[in-house]
Amino acid sequence: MAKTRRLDLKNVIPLIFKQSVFSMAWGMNKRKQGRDEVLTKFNAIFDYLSQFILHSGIKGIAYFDTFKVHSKGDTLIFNDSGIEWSFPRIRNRCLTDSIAERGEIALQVVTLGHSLETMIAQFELEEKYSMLFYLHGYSVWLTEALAKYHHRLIRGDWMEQGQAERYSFGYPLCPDLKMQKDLFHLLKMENQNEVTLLPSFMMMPEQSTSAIVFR
Amino acid sequence: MEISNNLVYSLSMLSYRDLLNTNQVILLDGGMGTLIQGYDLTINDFEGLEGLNEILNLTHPEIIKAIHTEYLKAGSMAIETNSFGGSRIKLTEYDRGDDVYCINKRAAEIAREAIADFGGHHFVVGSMGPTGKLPSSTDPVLGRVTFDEIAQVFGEQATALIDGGVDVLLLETQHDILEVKAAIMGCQQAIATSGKDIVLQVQMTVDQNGVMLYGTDIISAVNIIKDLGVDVIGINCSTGPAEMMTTLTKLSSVCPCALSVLPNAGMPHNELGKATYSLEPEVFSTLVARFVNELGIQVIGGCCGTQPAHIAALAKLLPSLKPAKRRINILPPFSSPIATLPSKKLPYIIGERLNAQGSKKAKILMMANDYPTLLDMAKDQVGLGADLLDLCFAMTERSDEKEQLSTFTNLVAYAVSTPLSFDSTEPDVLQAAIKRYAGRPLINSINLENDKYKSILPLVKQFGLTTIALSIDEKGMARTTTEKLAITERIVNISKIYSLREDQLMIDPLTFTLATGEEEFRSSALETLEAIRQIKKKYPSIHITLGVSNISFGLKPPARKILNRVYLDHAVKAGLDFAIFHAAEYIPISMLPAHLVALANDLILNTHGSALIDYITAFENLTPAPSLKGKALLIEKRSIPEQIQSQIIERRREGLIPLLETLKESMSPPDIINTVLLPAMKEVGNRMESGEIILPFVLESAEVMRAAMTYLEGFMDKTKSHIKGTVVLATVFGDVHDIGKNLVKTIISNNGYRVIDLGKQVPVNDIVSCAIAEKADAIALSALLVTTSKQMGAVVEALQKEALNIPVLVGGAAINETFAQFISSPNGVNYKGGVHYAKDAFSGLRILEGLM
Repeated sequence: MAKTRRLDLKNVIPLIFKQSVFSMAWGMNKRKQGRDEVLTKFNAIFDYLSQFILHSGIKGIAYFDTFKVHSKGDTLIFNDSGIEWSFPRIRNRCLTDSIAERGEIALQVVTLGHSLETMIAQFELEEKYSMLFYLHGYSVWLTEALAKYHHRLIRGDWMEQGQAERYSFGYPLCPDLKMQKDLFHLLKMENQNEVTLLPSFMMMPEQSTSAIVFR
Repeated sequence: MEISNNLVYSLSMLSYRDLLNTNQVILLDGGMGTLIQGYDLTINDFEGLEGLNEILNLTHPEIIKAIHTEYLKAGSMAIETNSFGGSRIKLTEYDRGDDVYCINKRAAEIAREAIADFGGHHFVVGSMGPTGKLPSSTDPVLGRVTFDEIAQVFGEQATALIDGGVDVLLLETQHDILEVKAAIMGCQQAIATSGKDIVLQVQMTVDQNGVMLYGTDIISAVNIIKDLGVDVIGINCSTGPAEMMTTLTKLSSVCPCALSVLPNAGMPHNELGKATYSLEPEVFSTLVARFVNELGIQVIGGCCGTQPAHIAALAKLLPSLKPAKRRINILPPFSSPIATLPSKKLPYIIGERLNAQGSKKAKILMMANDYPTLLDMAKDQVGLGADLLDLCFAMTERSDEKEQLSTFTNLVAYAVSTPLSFDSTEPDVLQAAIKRYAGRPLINSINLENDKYKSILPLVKQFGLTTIALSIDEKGMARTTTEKLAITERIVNISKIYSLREDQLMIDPLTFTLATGEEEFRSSALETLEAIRQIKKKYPSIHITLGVSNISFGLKPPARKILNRVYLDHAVKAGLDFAIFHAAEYIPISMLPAHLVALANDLILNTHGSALIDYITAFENLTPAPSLKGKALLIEKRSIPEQIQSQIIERRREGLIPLLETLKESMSPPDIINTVLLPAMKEVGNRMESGEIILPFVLESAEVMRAAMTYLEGFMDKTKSHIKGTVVLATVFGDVHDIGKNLVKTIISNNGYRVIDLGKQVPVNDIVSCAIAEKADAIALSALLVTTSKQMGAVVEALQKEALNIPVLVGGAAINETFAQFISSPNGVNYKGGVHYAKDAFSGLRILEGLM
């Protein structure tokens, strides 16, 4: 298996962008009326969930490794395995441009693993629809913060500050979800059971996300 | 060098306990984490387990030993083992649960080795931090750990530390008082099994206001654990010494055990994302020295951010330290997890309404498991002035008294500030409730009629509590002063066998009704009052209680109120300190009609033969005053259906069930659902669509709706269908995103539809076969991505193949009207059932309404 880190979430929670949770996940709208009430409530729920997660002992897990690569046009080639990834060139920008002279990238998968499942199942059982909803939105953004946090750790490993760029699959410059299969193969993810790659190339549990980090 | 100044300590070989008993100062060490960070270790030194300092006991014992040695050099008289996070629960988070024994035993051995190599007489303190679970929590995950599990986890860690050679077991940085209680039980068990004389030291962590995570103040924390056989109680972590002064002053004035304090090196401040402490050793030591000399704290040391320099500064001051003598205030022996009874109040009122035996209203609610309304009753009593709340769930109709009492205890524990009184005759019921309650409850009750006291008194001892003892023996209830005294004496003698102190007993000398007028009971009130006087005289530290309202049993309510109140006054003058009484009726006597009070006095004191007749006649001539209930009805002008609807729309659950209960008498449950509940949910949907409310509020309304439905379903004919239709719901194969699907389920199912939720990642065949088996009226499918949405087309195709015509609803981020049209004609043939695009849960609901 690739390198594994268990990450204490107390360092991760401060990286959650609260505004995204409130507006994108929890549906706070722009209406002025009643906004203060909603904001107070959301802040309280956010703090409650943060405490909840902190004291539950849930850890983030990161699987990652570094790889030597080179490029040929818009194609990235892994030196050791020969695996090739082709990226689109959009407005004269392609991911292969990011490969520096050193020819090194890192791949990472971060996840909250199965630990949230029991929590969610219990809310479902008790028909706590609203808490389930809040927890889901929170956990998705916590996963994003976890990716950000581990991205920083990789930068630290490389002794680089704010240089290395991170790209996830499914976005315009890196649209091909099928590459997830190679990524799982390269990180030897078959040896763990916290994250599963589905035939649709999505990861299960939902609170997981992968990325390429360019040195 | 500094150590030699502490003459008594260095010249003798006194034990830790001896030092405590002779009022000496004991200097512990400082923080471990900062020093470990100084060694520049990599993740590999931790076997890949980030943050698991305890693993170093196995991978780098020499580092831990070197840190111990640094503190010994600085002047520590006792060093803490590297085992703070070494409980099975903590280690299991790193998949190292099976290493509990070796990690903790090694922790103690390393400390012993450091002392042996350094030379001299020092102590090893076995550190045990919290598990991170919160047993007090009503939260489904954190609160799931049981008292016994926690006790076992700490017992296991303690055993390993004892085997490794610790002198002291230290529970530290504790933030949940229920966990503290359980941990103490576990440690006591381990100490007893080892047969060694191990000191037990317990430290809570409190904020600047002296309050623990769940709101337990330091005085209550002390009151809750002081009779559990602990030797030292203290605080550590969270703040620097300056912020601890107020808390320690309180601690110093109420705690009968020795005291300890291990502050951080100041308040943490954030430096590049890391908590940093910067209080200089000299300032730190000067403040801590004041704690010793002014407040009588004996055990001192440092927590986060403190280093050998801080300990050295304290060691330097040791010759000047002399723990101050303390004067300790005795606390009433009852606390809730968030408050303790005030020291002087006569009488304390034990609220009696939450009693299945005594209140019809309570019994109905208990039968219906209506805990929210029971909770309101609890809060009402507290609002009216109850000092303790008596809980009795004993009913012949039900066999789950234990589960009911425990469940309600968990709910009410932190919701009201008053301590609880567990009212049951069954030892196992009492034990379960005690283990669920973070406070220090009253036990109600024992008697000598049968042998049950033999099972209850050991609980009272083990959990350091106080129990009511009724003056009842094998012959029955004691009527005369002599009989009451004799039984009290027997109870006192029996309680000594169980090593209980007199103040752990609360005698109830019993009251009989005066309403029968029978000759043999006419002087019963006088007998009881005299018994109170004599018991108080003979056993001054025993508490006395009385079920006051028994005096008037059988009279009409207005007559009962006045007689009860006047009798209470007599009892308090005789020495009663805890009255079981309806808090609302505790009004000043001066506010009652004087002539009625006089007649009540005659009746109680049995002044003449016609006292009862006179009293009853006086009430027959009274015109009844308008009751409070009548007033309340005047204020509420809306009809009951309107009130129920507003509860759903405004997301209020309290009081819902009683409203439904009333409405049910004039309307059938299906009618209530169709004409009251569903229109309310519809209004909620409208408000959501107009942007007036946000989605999570809709879900809260749905929770209220669900509670109403659950209640009504209990009264509905199961064979008749009240549903509008059946919908099979799924997130398609390959797709794990189910939040959208779950929202649809919540909305649809709370609008009158039966929903079969197949979950996420559901293959085509499962969806089709389920739709057939369940005779679905519609199928609703969700998908997030373009790739997985192809599955929706496959479902339509399969339905067509089976010649079915069930309508299909599709929705999700990548879905739109065009896509729905596109998949509605597999292989160029139009699917008969039709495919409908639903942009959200509410438009899906509208489509369903149109289809059925």
